[in-house]
Amino acid sequence: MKLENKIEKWRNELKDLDSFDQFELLLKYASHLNINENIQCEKYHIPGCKIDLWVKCKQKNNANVLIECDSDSLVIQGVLYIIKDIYEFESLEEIRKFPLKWMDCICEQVVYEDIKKNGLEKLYKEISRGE
Amino acid sequence: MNVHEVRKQFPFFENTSCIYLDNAATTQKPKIVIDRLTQYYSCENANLNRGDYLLSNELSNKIKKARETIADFIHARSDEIIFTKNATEALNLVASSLCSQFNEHDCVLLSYYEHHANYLPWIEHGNKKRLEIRQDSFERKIDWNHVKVMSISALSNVDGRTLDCKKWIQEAHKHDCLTVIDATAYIAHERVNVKELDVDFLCFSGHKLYGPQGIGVLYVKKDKQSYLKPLLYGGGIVEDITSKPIYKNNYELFEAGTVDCGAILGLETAIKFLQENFDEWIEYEKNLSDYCWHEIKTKTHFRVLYHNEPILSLVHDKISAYDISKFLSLNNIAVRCGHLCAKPYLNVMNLKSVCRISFSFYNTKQEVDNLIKCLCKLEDKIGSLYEIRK
Repeated sequence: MKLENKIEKWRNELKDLDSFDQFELLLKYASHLNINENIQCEKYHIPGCKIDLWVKCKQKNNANVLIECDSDSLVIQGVLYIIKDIYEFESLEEIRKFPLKWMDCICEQVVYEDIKKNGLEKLYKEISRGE
Repeated sequence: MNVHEVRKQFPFFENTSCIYLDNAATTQKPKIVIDRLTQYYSCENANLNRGDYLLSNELSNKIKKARETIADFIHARSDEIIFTKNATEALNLVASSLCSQFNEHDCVLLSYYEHHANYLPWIEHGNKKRLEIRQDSFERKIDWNHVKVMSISALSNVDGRTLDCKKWIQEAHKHDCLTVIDATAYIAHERVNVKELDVDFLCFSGHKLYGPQGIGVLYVKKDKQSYLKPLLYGGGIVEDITSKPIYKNNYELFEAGTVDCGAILGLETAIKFLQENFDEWIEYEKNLSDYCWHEIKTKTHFRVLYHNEPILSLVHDKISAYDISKFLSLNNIAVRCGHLCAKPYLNVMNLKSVCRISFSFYNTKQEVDNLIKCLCKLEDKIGSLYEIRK
């Protein structure tokens, strides 16, 4: 599936849900996120006042991006699952074309604007930076 | 005490169904305070101390009386009260003044429990003079070597831990140290008597005491006022300017420009409102906090960091503070999560983030019961999620 289609798919899944249902859905996806606890170290750390994020990206042969990420928050782990689903195995060029603007479909009640603008935005920059 | 009668005095509760348990961040305002602000801006607004007309003179007298009321509340003299924007500004004023007069290797002594407001000003102004910033748990004997000033919070905004300020002030004075108390988190839960404490500087913010935001109070013992240097220079602080400025020699020197008269009058009203029932109300909120602590302990697996004043901070083995506060928020319960602007203290505890519940006398047992129900529900939800992950 094309990256923009994946974004559209997630938008459609999230946009009509109220904040309670979005919270539940993100918890559900959190349980599907494959976590490598070894990335919970300073090198991959994105600090925040309310949550912590860790992200490690790899690019195989200058091609598509592999993403490992984690958070201390389960709700944010759910968001990371979606981010991974959208951006993993895509080229840097594609990733850079589609910033996190789509995340406006996740309610402020569930993910603070501050977390979207700072922590998750920094995570996206890390993913789109390349090696 | 009839809590429902008390709540009727707070319009916030008529306009929202929110269970407000973030009182350590800011308190809701009684109608009488809101009305005072309206009255000020509707009928009394003028320029303080500068106008040659009746309205301005009347306002000057009202602010003088407000200063007296606020001074009485902490057993100070009115000429020992300086109005600031908030406690942060007050602490910056004290830290910048004192640090500039110390020498390299002199030491500033803080506790581990400080809010950033009583940490960063000392770090920044202290670094300029290469001072040592020393933090201590205040649980054992203190190393007073080179200490010139001790600046401590009376009550931790993270977990309600209190320090025996009177004891440590006496100790500090024995070692010729100046003393500063940040009473911001303390002022709404305990009576403060600056004379009994014998403290040199003490500050708090009005909005944590049911007053408006934008007003803080700095108490400076009369014989310590010469230590302070203004943060701001401007109107109202000079006697005369000839070849050079001749500055005033009292609290006015530290209140350059137009002060927030509405907020000062609002804070005066809040203090009068509190004084009527203060002892009964603080006992009530302590009992409510005890009840909540007991319910958390017996019905959930959340851990309360410390149990003393009406501030309870929670952590959980499997649930992050963010997830707790988000779930409570979705259930219309307002709490605070994060490092609570006390990162050094959380570092000491090896914690990244906590979820803080803080009470006021307008909170009810029913609200606590709803909180406990939500916490139990969240534990169930997250528990089943971990089952899936397994």
